[in-house]
Amino acid sequence: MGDLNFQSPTSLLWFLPIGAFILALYLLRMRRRDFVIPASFLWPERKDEVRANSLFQRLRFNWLWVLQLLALLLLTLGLARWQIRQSNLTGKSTVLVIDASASMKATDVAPSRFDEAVKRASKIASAMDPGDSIAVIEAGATPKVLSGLDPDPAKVADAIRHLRASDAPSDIAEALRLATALVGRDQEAEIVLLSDGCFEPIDSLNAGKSKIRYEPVGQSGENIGIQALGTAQTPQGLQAYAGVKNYGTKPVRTALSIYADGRLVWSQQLEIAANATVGKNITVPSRAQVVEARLSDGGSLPADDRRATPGNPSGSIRVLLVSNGNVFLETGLVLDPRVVLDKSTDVPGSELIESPGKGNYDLVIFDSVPEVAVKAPLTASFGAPTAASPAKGSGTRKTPPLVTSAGQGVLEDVLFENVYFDHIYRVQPVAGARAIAKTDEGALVVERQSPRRQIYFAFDLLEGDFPLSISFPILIGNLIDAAAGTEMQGITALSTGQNVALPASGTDPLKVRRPDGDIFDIAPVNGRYSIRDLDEVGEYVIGEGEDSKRFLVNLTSERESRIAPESQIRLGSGGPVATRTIQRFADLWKPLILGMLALLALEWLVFMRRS
Amino acid sequence: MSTALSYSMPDLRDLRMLERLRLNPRRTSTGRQRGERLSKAKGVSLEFKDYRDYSEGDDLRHIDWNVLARLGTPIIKTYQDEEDLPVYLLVDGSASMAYGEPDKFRFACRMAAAFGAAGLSGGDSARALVLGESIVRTRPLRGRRGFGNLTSWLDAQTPNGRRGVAGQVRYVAPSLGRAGLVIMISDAMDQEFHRMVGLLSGLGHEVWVVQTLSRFEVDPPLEGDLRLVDAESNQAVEITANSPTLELYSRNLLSHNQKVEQACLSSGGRYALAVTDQPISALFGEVFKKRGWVT
Repeated sequence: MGDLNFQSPTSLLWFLPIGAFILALYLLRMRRRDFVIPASFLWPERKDEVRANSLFQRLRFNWLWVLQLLALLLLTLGLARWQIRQSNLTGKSTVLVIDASASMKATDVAPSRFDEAVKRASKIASAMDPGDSIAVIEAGATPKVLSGLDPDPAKVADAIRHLRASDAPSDIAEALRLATALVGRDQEAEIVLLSDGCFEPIDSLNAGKSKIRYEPVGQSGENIGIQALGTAQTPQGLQAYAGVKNYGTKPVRTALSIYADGRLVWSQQLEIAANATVGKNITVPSRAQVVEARLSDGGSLPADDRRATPGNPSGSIRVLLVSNGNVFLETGLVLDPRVVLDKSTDVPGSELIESPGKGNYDLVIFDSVPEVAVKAPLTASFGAPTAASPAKGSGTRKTPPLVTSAGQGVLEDVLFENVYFDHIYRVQPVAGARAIAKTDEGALVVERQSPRRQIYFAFDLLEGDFPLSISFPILIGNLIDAAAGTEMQGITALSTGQNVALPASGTDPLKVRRPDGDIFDIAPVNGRYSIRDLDEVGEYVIGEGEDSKRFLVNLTSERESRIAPESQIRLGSGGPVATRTIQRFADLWKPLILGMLALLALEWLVFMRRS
Repeated sequence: MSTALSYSMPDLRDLRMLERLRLNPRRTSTGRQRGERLSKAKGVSLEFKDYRDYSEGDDLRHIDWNVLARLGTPIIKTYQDEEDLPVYLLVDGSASMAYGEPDKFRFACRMAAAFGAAGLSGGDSARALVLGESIVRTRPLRGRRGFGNLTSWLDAQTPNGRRGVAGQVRYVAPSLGRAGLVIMISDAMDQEFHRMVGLLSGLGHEVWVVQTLSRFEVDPPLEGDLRLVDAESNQAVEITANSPTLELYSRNLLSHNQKVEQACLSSGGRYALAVTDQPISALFGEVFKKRGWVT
């Protein structure tokens, strides 16, 4: 029957005997009570037989038996569990993954893609059958489980109400992994991804036996956004570069305006062809602390219509990687948007300690290249020690070392257990230095605080599997944080979704003011303030008074600005995820019973009107 | 006048009220005996009518001597003759009259006795007929003594007719005698009843019809599926007694009654509907007197 089905079709057979019985009642002639009257000519021959009978007679049309047969038909259909295929009905366990990324704030669907996704989630939740469970995951920069698998519709609705979109890219892969973990091995489970598909490809995901359904949201890909904004000191003064990209398929006109510390300093109408970028160099006041670019009509995604950057270009962390080539280090460093990375096989003369002037780098990393004394406030070196290193020694050992680590500072959360080193250098700290990680035969990591901060690692990165361990990106992050903490400027540009770690000198909580004016406190953990909720475009102020730091948070993900919704998505090497609405049969017994009751009421009405 | 226990006999107070009443037919008629009612025939009575010249054979007692003395011409005074009114009390004795509580026949007998009381006390002659399986009748009754005979005769009658009342009237009408006032007390449950009214009127009678119905017939409390059996013809009708059926019956009854009433009025007679649960005295006081049936 296609969209119709009977779970118990044999129950339909009940219609025949019961229907025949009802008709038989009307076929039987009525045994009437005799009543003597003065005259019969005044009485019309009028019979509406509804009750017991004795002898058969011709079946006459009567609305009562028609209604009774209809009511019986509805009752037997209900007993046969008549079902109809319906959409938007979920399986027994359902995980709703709602994309809360920046692109979901696009307004091509009124009021926004995110609101549309929330509406659809509510619709799915409202179609819950008793016993069904629904979980709600907010897929933002850091996916959050707002509600575990819960059969309580009120709790599910409450979780859906707490969904909030951000200006950050989302980690859909992690959200789907979370969803998969929630449903476990439930074969009937379904994961519903409500998204526009504007996220980075998911290379690997094992969804187990659960079904993943992709519900696309969004209609249009028309959007323009500020693709780049930077400042540089030039002989002409402080220059700002602003790049505006049209991500859509039609040429557009927009007005680009540049503000210096909130004051308009430049504005121009731009004509941008489809999928093209227009860049502008603008001279801004040299004392400007914050340079901001704004678009007057940036399409349906407002998050990329403004971008701000510190007026002082040194606001970012400049890192010099002295290496003969190390993809692990390069990748780890450029992932941090604060980092401006330069690579070289040797140290430029201008950075050597003996050269005049101030150094250009906040962090210099020697990757198996002999360390030399540089001006940078922080250096990290891997490989054989030199005279400039905070450690000394000779020779290597190949036996697996037993490492004990202080687990603080740059080594926080960095574990050396189960790491394979082809060899390590036998070193000891020099005077003024200390080993922050040791082996049974000497130091593994040595730190010296003065005259400049130096971290020495007694191994080569490419001579072991440390770059493949989870501790490697943590170490890189710690090094960048250390560089930021020592020389970081008062104003820093960040990307939405990034986390910030600041060293804590005490136990006092740190106040954080969001762009929307909300203020919340962050308590220090292990001597650091970790701020993880920088997911809104605008200026965050962390701390109070002169010690406060300003973070200019921008949407820098091109993938989020390219808001054309994807009609289908792929997960890993598998085929495209189902986008067709998964349907299931829903029992119709409730409307059938209601219909039957309505018919009985109608029959009663007909009977009453006649009698 | 006897006040013996009789269902046809009105109680004493009603009887006194009835004895003060006089039947008031629309037309006058000629009686055989002098009564209290004015006759079309001029004659000797107390009611002066006109003068005329004396002619031979006139009763000298009627010469107006004052006129003779003044004019010298004998003038005879003529008078409106007062004669009795033949009143025929026709009581429907068909089986359908046995219906109701109290039954329509007993009510009709009381009604006939009441009309008889008014007529007899007014000097009219009265004759009662019960139109049952056979037709029985009294001899002409006169005076208050006749009233006792009337009630005792009525008490002895029973409704037993299986023939339609119209047929019985058609049979008895030619033999009623001189034209008078026919008071027909019947349930009129005969489709030919209105023709019977025309027949009697055509014979010179003034016809009054008191249609006597029980409360059951006016508002039948029936429900359910029934087989209605005609009390006279034994014909059966199967019905489902519900609102539409009862409404249709009421419309049929009203139409039939209007036909009978129209026949009465068009023949110069009178018509009234009496329900058996109404007191006779109330009917006379509030209906017949107000409509001019009695004065």
